[in-house]
Amino acid sequence: MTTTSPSKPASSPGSPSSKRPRLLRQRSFVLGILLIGTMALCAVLAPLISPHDPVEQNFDSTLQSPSLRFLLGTDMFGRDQLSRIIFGARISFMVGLISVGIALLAGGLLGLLAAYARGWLDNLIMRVMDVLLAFPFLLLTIAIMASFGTNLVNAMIAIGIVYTPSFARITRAATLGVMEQGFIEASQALGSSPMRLMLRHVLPNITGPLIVQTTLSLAFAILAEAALSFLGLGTQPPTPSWGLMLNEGRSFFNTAPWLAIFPGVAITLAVLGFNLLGDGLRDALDPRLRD
Amino acid sequence: MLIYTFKRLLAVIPILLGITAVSYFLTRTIPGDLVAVMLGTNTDPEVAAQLRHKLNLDRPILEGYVVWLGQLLRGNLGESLRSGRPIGEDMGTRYGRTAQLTLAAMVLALVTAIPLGILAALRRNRTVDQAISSTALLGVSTPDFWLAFLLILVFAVWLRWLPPAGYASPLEKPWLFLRLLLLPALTLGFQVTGILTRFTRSAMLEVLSQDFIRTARSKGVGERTVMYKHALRNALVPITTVIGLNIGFLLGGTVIVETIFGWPGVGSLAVTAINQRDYPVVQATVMLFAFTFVIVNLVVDLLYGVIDPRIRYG
Repeated sequence: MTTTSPSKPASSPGSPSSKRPRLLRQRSFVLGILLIGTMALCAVLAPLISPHDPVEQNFDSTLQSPSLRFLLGTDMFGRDQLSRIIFGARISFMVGLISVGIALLAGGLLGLLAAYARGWLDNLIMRVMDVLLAFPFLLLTIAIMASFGTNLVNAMIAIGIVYTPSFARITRAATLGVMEQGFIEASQALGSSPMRLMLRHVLPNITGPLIVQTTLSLAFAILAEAALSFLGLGTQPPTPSWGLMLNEGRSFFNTAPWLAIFPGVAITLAVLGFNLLGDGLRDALDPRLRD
Repeated sequence: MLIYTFKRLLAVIPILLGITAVSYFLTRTIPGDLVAVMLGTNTDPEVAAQLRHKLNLDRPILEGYVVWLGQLLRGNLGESLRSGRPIGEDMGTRYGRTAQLTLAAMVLALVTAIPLGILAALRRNRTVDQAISSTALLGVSTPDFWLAFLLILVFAVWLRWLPPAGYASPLEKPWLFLRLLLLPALTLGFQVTGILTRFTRSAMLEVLSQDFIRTARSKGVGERTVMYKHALRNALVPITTVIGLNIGFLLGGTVIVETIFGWPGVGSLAVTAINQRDYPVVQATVMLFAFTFVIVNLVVDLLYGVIDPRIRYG
């Protein structure tokens, strides 16, 4: 591609002569970092910055509209909604990190194994992944939850299982690409064990797509937790979770619309943050996919 | 083309079998006694034994699966534990309603996403593109169950333009049906609109950067013709695949959207069945969704072969 072509990639996130690191030239990455950073900080500092106790019921002040005392209003039990949203960030981030961690570990191992073994094992693993991918994500999550029992731990496991196939596919494809390169053959010729080959040579070369997939999966995992909790299958009361808050407040939406609005804003911002982050990382780490 | 079709059909069979296995074993791996979970612990042992026999739980797990699969192949989905009626009985009707909702959502998504995606690609990195791309990303990030409430709040509660929830037969009350369909279809299609807009934009950009576009331009073809005859036609090939994949996304979404809007389809049935621990119904609904997804993508694959001959012979 010539540099004068009108369709040369990216002109807005900074000219090629810019001295800043490539990542920081990605506006979406910076925005995403800001959003996620703020929310993560809120989650960590929740006990310090929350104006009220997130689970304390206060029947003198139920269903109050936003005011100076309760910035985002109160719910039907008189609990402060701002404090519940701040504490809810803990649940969202924890579920996101653990469930995506499960998917990354399981999917990564399966993908590496499939790509290294080839043959029937590869076929078996990938066909099983194909089958799992045929189920709508949310429905499979719910069905797994229904079998295992409905609580937060099972929600994380279920979300982890559902996202495993995507990680397995990406890891396998990336590994196959790396395996064809000369340095792998060289390392094999020098007598590297398969373990060493995978850990020292393959893994460092496939981190790019895995990081992108991890970030984007975090967005979906947070959505999934919210959806499960909304359906009453995830976080159990009185623990504050954004999805659960929407569920609990739904009968009061006519009279107390703030119960319908703010938890949803929180979910959207968290998901948006990870999506922005993922977009920025993909543009920076995987030039082939850049648009 | 015949050989291609045949090959694709053969490749689908193991996937379908796999789906039946996952659906079956999912409800057999429940920790503890399934029957005790369903009936409660203080049940007459005889009743429990009968149920166990009916669900093939008194057989080894593999044998149970084979028996169940045999019934399935004869079109017998089993009976609901709650109503005692055959599951297949009103599944067809419910499936039809879910299809209406899913199709409406897909149509809404397509008529918005494709023009917006093209526009964004043509005005790349300018204000229009940035506005479209940001909105699309916001769409991808908005949870459907939240959007549903916002739409109900605004259009049903405050403005009173549309009914908040319910269902009417399109044949008997077509106008009411459309009014009831609008909000759930918008909700369901919203995220997919975002996904498709983003995808259309990048597919267009990908095609526009290719040599044959430069060739077309340099031989003096008008910009309009380049866009629509050369670029869009080629971009539509990957877009078709993504449409197929997003059917799965929509089907998953019906679980939530149908529940909120009281749409009596397969999605809301699945949620009811899960809450009532009606496992045969859970099995049936989960399986039906996965089957639909696979069949839709099979059709897309076959269409793909029609659109793009390179794939047929590749």
